[in-house]
Amino acid sequence: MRIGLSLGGGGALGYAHIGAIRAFEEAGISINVINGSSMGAIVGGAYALYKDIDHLSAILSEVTRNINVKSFNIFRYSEEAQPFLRNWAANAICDISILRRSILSHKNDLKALKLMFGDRQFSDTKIPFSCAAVDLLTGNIEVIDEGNLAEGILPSISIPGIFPPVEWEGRLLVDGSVLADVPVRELREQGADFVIGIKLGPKASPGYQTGFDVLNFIEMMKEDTLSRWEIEQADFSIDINIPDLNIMDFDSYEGAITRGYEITRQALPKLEMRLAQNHE
Amino acid sequence: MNEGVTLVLGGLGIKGISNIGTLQALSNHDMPIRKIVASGISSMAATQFALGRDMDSLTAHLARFFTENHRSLWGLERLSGMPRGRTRRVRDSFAYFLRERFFCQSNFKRLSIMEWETIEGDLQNFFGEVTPADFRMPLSISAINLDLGKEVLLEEGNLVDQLKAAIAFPGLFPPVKIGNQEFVGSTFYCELPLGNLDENDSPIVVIDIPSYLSSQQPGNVIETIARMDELRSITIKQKLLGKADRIFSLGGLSGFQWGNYKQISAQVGLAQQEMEQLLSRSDSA
Repeated sequence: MRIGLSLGGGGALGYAHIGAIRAFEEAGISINVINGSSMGAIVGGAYALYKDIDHLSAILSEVTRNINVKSFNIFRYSEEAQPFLRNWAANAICDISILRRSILSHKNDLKALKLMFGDRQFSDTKIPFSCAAVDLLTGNIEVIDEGNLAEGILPSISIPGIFPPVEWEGRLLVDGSVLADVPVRELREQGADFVIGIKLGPKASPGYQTGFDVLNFIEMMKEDTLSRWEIEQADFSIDINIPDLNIMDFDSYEGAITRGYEITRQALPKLEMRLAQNHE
Repeated sequence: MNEGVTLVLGGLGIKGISNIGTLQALSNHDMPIRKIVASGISSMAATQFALGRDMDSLTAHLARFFTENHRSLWGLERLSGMPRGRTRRVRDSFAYFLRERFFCQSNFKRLSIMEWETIEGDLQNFFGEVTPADFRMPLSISAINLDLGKEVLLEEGNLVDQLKAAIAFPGLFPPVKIGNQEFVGSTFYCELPLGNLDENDSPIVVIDIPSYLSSQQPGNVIETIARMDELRSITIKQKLLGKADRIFSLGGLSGFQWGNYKQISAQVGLAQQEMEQLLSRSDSA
C-alpha cells in the first residue's frame, strides 16, 4: 500500500508539518509519496529530498534566521507602529498595489528556496514529490513534478497580491492554496492508495475593524470551505489548529513544530487503526 | 417528493436585481413554488414576490434609489471593471477610486463606504410594515454570520434587518447586528445560497446568473486578488450546484458587471425575456 502525505498551506503554521512528520517517523509510518501547497510544498519538498527530519528542521531554522522572513509580513508595520506610521504604510501599500501585480518581489523567497534546495531536481527526491499551483487564467489546478525543485515550488508559494504570479508555459501560476490547500485528489491521481491530509489553521482570526478585515475573513472562509471539501477525500485527516500562532509569525517556528508533533501524536492511534484496516 | 419547488435566487452585486425579471417570468408559468431561498439584492425581489406585490414598482424604486445616490456609488461601476478598455481619463478615475477611496480610505481605515442611514429609511418605507402573515410562501434569506464564520439562513425576526444583512456587501455596508451576532451578505462568499440546503428541500430549482472570468491578464494587485476571489467563488458555486435538481442559467446577463447600477431596467427586462424563453423551451419539452 502506497501511503501518501498531502500537506496544506498556512504560512508560519507550516512548520507544524515538521512535527507531524517526526511523529509519523517515530511511529514507523513510512511515507511513499508527498505533495503540498504553499508552505506545505516547501516542507514536503524538503522532506522528500533529504528524508531526514533533523536535517529538515536544521535547514528550515537556518533559512528562517538568514533570510529576512519578517519582510513577508507586509502588515507588520500596521500591527506594530504608531497611527501616523500605520496610515503612511497603508497608503504606501495602496500606491504600490495600483502599479504592480504584487507588493513584494520573488527576491527573498527565491533566495530562501535556493538555500534549501540548491539546484536539485524533482527527480532527485528520495520520495516522489509534487506541488500544486493554480492557473489564474483558467482556474485549473496544475501539478508540478519535474524540473528544478526551487523553481517548481516557487509558483506554489506565490500568494496572490503579495508575491507575483509565475508565468510558465502560457499559464499564470499562483499559490496552490487558492483552490487546493490540501491537494488530496491530486495525490491520489499520482498513485497514493492511502492519503493522509494535514490541514493547518486558523488562517484568520475573528474580529474586525475595517471593511478589508471583513472581506479577508470571508476570503478565508472560502479557502476553508474548499480545503474542507478536499480533505474530506483523504483516508485520514489531521487538523492542526494553532490559534495562538499568526500565519505571518515566522519567528515562532519552534512552537509550531512542537504543536504539530503533539497534535499528530494524539491522532496516531486512530491513524494506525485505519492503516491496519486498509492492510487487511 | 415535496409539492412545489424550492426556488434559489442569487447573483453578485447589482445583478441580483435581475431576479425581479425572472420572478415575473415564473409567475406566468405553472411552477408551484413551496419556498424561496435568496441572497444579496435578490432577497428584495424575493420578498416582493413572496408578498404578492407589484414587481415593477420595486424595479422603479431601486432605479430611483441608485439615481438619487449616484454620488456615493459612482465608484462601484469602476470597481466592477466596467470602464476597462475605454478612455485613459476613465481608467485614471478607476485607479484613483481604487487607491484613494475604496482601497485605502475605506478598507484600511473605515468599516464601509456607505452607512445604513442612506438606505434604511427606504427599506422601512418599502418593507417595514410587513408581518409574517403577509407572505404567500416561506422565505429564507442568506447571510454570513461573522461570529460563527458560516453561511446561515435567516427565517425569523425583523424583515428589514434580514434584508440589510443580505445586502451588506463587505466593505460597502457595515455588518448588521441581529440579536448579539453580526451578519454580512453571502454573495461575496458564493453567488447562490445553496450551502444550507439538502435533500429535504428537493426539488431545488436554481436561477443562476453566471459570472465569467474575464480573459484579461490581471495587471495589478487588486485585479490579481479579485481574480483569486472570483476563482474561489466560482469553484464553490459549481460544487454546490450539484445539489440542484434543475438550473436555469441566464447567460445573456453575463455582459452586465456586478456594479452596473445604471441599467437596472434593462437587466430586469433581459432577465424576464431570457427566463421566458427557457421556461417555454422546458414547457414544450
